Amino acid sequence: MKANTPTGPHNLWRPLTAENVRNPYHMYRALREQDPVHLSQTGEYILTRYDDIRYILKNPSFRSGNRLDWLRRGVAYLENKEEDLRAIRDAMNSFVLMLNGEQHRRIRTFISKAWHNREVDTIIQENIFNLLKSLSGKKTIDVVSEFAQPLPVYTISRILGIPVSDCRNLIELGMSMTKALDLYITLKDMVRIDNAAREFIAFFSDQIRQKYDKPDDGLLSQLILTNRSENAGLTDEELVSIAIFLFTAGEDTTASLITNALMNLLIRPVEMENVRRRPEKIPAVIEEVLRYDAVVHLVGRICSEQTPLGDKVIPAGATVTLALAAANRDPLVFPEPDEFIIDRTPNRHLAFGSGSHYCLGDWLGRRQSQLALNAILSHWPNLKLNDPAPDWYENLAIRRRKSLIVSRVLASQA
Amino acid sequence: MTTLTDILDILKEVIAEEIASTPDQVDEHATFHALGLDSISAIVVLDYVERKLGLAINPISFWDYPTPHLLADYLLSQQAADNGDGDKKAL
Repeated sequence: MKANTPTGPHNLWRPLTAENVRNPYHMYRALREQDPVHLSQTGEYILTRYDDIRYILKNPSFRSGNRLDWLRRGVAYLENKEEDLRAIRDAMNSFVLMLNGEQHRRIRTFISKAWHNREVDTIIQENIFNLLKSLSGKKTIDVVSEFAQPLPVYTISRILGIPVSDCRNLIELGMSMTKALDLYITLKDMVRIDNAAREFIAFFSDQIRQKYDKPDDGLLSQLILTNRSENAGLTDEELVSIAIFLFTAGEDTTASLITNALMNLLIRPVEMENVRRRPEKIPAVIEEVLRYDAVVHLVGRICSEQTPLGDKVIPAGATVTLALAAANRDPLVFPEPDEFIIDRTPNRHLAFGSGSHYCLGDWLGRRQSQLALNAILSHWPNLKLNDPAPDWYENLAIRRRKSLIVSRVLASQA
Repeated sequence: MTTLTDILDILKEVIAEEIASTPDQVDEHATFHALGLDSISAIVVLDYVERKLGLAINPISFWDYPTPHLLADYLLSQQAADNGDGDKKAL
């Protein structure tokens, strides 16, 4: 069955209405049930079934990088209008999630060598300890801005080996940069992204220059050394882009995951107490949050060759939007998909994607969220949720609550 | 008081600019696609209209209301719904 009205408010794809920004799951469900391979009014195909989405994620003829292509065309178009937004393109030239084929393999292999199997627990624990300490004595806390947002930035800064004193400014910039991955952006957004891109390029160019002179044991120095010792042949511009990618990819995403994890427990006090008593359940909580209240809702692909899918044929050149968060609620894969069930096994959610672009930082996002949740549960007893329905940012691709205000009963008052 | 014609004039003006034509050549009932606009020229059009009307426009409305006439009609209703905010710019 298809939507019977081609235009106007009756479209199945209405991601920017206030109601759907707050909760897109009713819309996802309607799409999945009524038109799971939906040709939307914007000309892209919106996919909502688990099997279809997994198939496309693993199918190399569906290329990554539709947003980068679009931004490049946009930057070129606006150049003729004397809007210089070239920094967007330069900052993102080596964003590994947007590359394909040999270029993708080359950059991903290069990053992986220096990136995986790092000892990060100590760094994360120290950052958590410092953040909790800075909040001690505070009764009302915005978990988003005071804890969840800074934590991944401090962590990645330590991993990269860049000064933590520069972090505060970079937090804001990272949030602007993430908007580049959203589906529908305005000219104002592009100008904001470009400004962030310029500052990032300046910052990391400077950092890389410093590491050439004085290498340390951070990841940035290691990338430079690997590039030299293996003759990888990456330009400084590519190294800068890789650094921006590593810095920004885990910021909003991890912040949102930590926030969502705490939120989902706070609105379920019985579960929360259960997990507080049995912290070994925390990894399972994080997995269920990744499925049930995912961070990355939408990713895009470009179809390289005509592909039949469901009752449709996707033509070559079409843009396909994969609603990962809809796949994670597909009843054919997850019994009682709209229930938050901590002990769900198996839990094969697609929150980190699948196939050759599977998230490079899944382990770091998971680990930070597990340790963060564990620390909050053990350090902040009697936590109360002040606002049960915080607003969401209008970013369809990466969903993030604007705030999570909690209050706690301090020891002296208990 | 902004009228439908005022909004249509703004739309035709910026569309003509984008497709290197003149406002009187822009068919208000043709789809943006048929007029030669795409998702990139769309953001220039919407930005111009936003600034002229002092209205924040949801980017997807370009596709939900895919002709100049439909979009103008929608923007007029949005502006009416928005009335009362003091910061509206005069046309």
